[in-house]
Amino acid sequence: MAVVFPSKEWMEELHKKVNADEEYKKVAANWEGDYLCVVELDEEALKDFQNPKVLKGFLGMLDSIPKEKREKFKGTPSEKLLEALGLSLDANLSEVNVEEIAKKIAENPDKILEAAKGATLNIWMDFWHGEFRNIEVAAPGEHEDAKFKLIGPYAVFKQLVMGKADAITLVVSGKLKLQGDMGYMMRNMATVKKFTDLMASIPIES
Amino acid sequence: MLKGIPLDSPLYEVDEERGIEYRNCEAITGFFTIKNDVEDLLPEGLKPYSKPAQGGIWISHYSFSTVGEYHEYLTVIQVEDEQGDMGYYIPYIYVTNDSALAAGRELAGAPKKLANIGLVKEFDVVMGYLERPAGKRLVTFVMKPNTRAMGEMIDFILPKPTYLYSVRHLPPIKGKGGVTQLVKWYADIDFHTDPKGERVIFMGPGNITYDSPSVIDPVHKVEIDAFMTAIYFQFDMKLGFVDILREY
Repeated sequence: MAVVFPSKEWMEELHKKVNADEEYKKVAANWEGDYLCVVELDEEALKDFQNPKVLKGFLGMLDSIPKEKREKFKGTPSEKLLEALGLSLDANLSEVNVEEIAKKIAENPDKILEAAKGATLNIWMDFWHGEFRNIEVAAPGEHEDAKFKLIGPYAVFKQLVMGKADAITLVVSGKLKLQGDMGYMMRNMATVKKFTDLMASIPIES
Repeated sequence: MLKGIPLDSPLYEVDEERGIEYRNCEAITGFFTIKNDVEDLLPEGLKPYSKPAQGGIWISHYSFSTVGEYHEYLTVIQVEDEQGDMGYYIPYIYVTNDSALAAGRELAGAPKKLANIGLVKEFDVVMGYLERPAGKRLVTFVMKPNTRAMGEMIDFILPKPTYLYSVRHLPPIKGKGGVTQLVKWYADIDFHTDPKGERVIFMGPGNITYDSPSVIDPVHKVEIDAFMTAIYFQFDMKLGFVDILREY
């Protein structure tokens, strides 16, 4: 079943798909550690958010962050983006009128893009000996001590998710920045490749 | 000077301090996971760096070196030595020049053979190939260098220095004079930079095929599973020697 990216449904599908894959379990048997993906919201993101379905997916992801943790957004570019969209951190982001907000983005793309400068969507994923233990949306500053941090623009992450480029190519080319224990990464390239192949195999609703 | 034979007109002369020096070289390398168990290809003292094991193929042209101009083909297996260093063990290596062959075999134990090797550019493709003898195509490696490789991961795949390992073997005569040693040597690669100061390393889609396997030159024994990355680069290089790690 096709899902929207970004969305909670995509996260759930990825979690399910990886944990159901016997080959992944085998290849990743020695892997220990977590990833923080820092998705920088760019022009491509703002273009996609003009589609109410995609915007709903994005806001649904943010809404999965418990309200007590949303304090961490205060003063960050992500809060500024929400403000520019007429939203507050306390709002129930899954129930806002996405058609109206999408229209607002379409009418003022440059203004919203300016407000979005520096805003990120942080996704934390935890893996342990072949098991994909957890995936959640992280608040700013959360999970900064993750074993690996993968940073890059939304447009590049989208290429990865849609299978248009693989993670190793994107990291070697420098389009995605990888921070962490590179020696460990070098030993586990097959695990990374298998995971991203599974990610790319999820059909994305356009 | 490390000199080969004939003693009065050596095939190679290598300055031990400076190593073998290379200028204006270009190469393509492909990096992949290895499908089969490589334990029986590795000498004692080395173990695969990862599970599954990873390896690569390197096809290069050295327009100048202190052992002459030549082409080279290598199959490597990524390993870890007993000192904890990551490097590449060379089960198979081929060259197109007798001086490079002799220096590599005698000084480092690199199991070099002569072969027909090419690195050609045609259309949007760079192709490297290994034939032995000419016409018997053992390996074809094609790639399309269409994207700059700007990431730091290259420095982990080919760190400075990149350690290399081979087994230097001189058979004994009537039980005397034999030598079998695990030699650790290194390649110090300096990537060329363009006028903007960016390193001349490009990546892109690529693949390697073992076109016509040969029992005489079984390079296909390092079976390619998942192909990870292909890069094309221009560089200078120095080869030097680290130590003899083991006497067998």
